Amino acid sequence: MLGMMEAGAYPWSWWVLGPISLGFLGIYLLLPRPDGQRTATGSLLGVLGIAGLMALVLGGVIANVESLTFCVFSGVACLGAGFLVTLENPARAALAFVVVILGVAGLFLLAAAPFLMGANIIVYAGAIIVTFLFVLMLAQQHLPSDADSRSREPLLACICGAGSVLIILLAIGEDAGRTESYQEGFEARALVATRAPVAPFRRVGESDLRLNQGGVPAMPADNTAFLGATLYGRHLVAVELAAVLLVVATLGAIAVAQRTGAGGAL
Amino acid sequence: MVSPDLPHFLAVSAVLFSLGLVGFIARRNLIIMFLSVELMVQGVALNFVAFARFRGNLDGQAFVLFLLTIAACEAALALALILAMYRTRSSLDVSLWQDLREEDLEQVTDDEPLPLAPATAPLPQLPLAGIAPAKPEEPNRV
Repeated sequence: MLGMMEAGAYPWSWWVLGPISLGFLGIYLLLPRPDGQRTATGSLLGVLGIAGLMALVLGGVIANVESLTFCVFSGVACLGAGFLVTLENPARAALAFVVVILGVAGLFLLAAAPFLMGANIIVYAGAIIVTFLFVLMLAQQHLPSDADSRSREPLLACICGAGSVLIILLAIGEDAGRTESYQEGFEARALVATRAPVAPFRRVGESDLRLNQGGVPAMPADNTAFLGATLYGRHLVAVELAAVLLVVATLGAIAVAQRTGAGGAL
Repeated sequence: MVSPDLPHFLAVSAVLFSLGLVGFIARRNLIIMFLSVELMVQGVALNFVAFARFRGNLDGQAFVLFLLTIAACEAALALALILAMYRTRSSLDVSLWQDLREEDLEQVTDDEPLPLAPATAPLPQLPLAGIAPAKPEEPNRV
């Protein structure tokens, strides 16, 4: 465990404990409870936690456009996630989930996945959230209610979440010492791949991301075409199975939601 | 750092995943619990996409596409189940279903009373349609 202290170029080792505990203390104060949420203190602590974690994780940041947009999108996603967990009104929480989706879609774009960005927005923000809001409006309960104004074990839940994120971040930080070699290995493979002759329908695999002059993958526009080739080449059976699964899920949803006999009225 | 690297993406997805975990454990509304699970799925999807980018290999993105498919199926089925549950207990509170636990676990009861609903302003009383409201006579007639 002590070896983590001197591990790597990413200087967040045990320092992440501070902002993580601040942020989850904020979540604890913000979770709905019958005697009222501590909105002011909780949101201050939560924002401090996110900002501190970002400062630690990003380290000595050189402000270029990519890192700035990364900061904005990840901040939006984390803030939306905090709102989703803590807002008392479920309809507002569902709308906070849309904010999370938009932030994550921006991060997808930064990670060279333009098609997934669009698909994520369409499927989640367009389809899933709309149907969930529909059910929420059908089952509208007046606040305060048992379902929305109480939390189960808020303290234990927050300790659990903080422990989870601490363990994951420490594992990443420990591994970050080996990241340079990782990156070098990737660049070596990428350069080999660019030297290979390019056939119109070459085998999709090792390195399909477009590279810039430095041999580092840039954000490619034709990733979508390569994604299609991957899907319908190596994963064709899985695509067919997914289609079958969608049909089965549709039939199952209809069968489950059907009103049977003298059930209660909705 | 010149541009975001793999550990930064992983850190963001760790935060998203843990917030979803907290929401799933702590909240009691069935729909918010489901949305928290979707939040955890988003964290995992971000992991896959980041690895796809930094390994230079599109299989991660293909996996996220299948993950979207599964999420759509899951949402349809979860909505049908939540609807059926709402019909039987007429509430979205998950604690109403604690009789599904093992028998030797004791039931959790809520001790603190709920706060009173905030008083809403009364709706304005309008006259019935079709009857003209009494108007004061205008004093100066020509």
